[in-house]
Amino acid sequence: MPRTFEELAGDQMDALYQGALFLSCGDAGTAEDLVVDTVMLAFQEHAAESDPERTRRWFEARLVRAFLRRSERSVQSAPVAAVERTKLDPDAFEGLGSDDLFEAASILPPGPRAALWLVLLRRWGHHDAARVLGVDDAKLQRLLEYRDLLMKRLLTDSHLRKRARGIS
Amino acid sequence: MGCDEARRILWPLEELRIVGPEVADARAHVRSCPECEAYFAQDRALLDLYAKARSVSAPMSLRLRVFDDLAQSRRSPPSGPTRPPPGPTNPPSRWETVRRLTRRYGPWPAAMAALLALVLIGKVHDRGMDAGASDVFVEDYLRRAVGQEFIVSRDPGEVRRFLERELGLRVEPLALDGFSIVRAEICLLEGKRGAMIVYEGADGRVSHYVVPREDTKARPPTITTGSLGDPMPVVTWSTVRVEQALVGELAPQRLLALATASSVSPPARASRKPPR
Repeated sequence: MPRTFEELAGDQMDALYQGALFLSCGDAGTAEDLVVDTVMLAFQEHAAESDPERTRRWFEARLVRAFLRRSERSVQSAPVAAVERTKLDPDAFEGLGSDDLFEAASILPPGPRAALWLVLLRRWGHHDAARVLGVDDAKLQRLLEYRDLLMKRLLTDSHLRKRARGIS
Repeated sequence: MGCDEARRILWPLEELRIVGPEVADARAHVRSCPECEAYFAQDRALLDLYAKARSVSAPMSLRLRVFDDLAQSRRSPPSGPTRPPPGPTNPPSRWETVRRLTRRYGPWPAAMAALLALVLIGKVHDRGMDAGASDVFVEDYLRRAVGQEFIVSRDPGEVRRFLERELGLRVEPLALDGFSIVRAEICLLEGKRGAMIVYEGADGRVSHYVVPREDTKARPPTITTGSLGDPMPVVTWSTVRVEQALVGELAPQRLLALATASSVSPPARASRKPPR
């Protein structure tokens, strides 16, 4: 049964908003603007799609494009700094919330942030993510190395903030 | 096999894959490599952290913005070639919409849709409309697709406050003999927000619709049936600046009696408060 674009967008709205919060580092106003941009961008390009998984990815791709468009720089031209690989204890995540993750994302330049969201958090395959970002697989691999920077920021800063608030 | 290659081959870890020699080698590497093991454990932890955001819903203000922009875009399509193609992506027909609403939300939104259609027919006859009646009907349907406010309460005072807050309309819910309120929700008619208040009684459920309209004059309750071949009886009336209707699976005369008894007593009065 064909569904209206509004139905499809309505179904995706929460997930898009959550993704937009990550991409905008937890700034709710920017996240809302990003979702509006995404849906309108998607509306202009909409083609009927019956598979929910493909619909989800279709919207996610447009969220990333809207985000990169707003950040006014393409991933292709952005410099990719070397990121030190760090060994981190996964148990250190206990007690953290999604807000901490969104705030920690601010350490990432737009390209790595978008790449990490697609691949790490939305489980896109590397090749498809590279295509959406407009980079080759090797460049994507370098963008994904920012994961360690995100982790480091997440674990150090979040714990410091919590300590400052007297939570831990 | 090195760490990077093993991680690439096994990404994402949860995905089911055919275990060829390459995958077997990668798995063997991860099992014997503490760094890779930690890498995937961190990956899982990061994913779990992001999953906590699932409790975060897109705010209503965002849904309204999206809906408004989409409606605006449909009303004023761009002249370029990027306009969505006709067919499955365009709004459904009126009765297709009713069927979908019934399947998705149960009979009451469908009843509301039928009511709106009936009201629209009346409006078309009264004043004429630039756009087709179905545009207005679809507007409410589309709004439902992107979310709406509602309240579940048996307290008339709480419902009154909900209406006042959401519509800027001071109106008392009807006091229907033998029925009590179960919920109220916002609807949209010709771009104006209205409300549907659902009542439950021994005879079944009825819904009372309240739609503010600046140019509406008072008129007594009348039964509206058969305009669209729908068997659902609808009683419509208005008070100053407020269109009202009662719809339910009751005998038409019973519905009319309920509406008449209620509309001549206090609930029919309404006034606008300044915009929020």
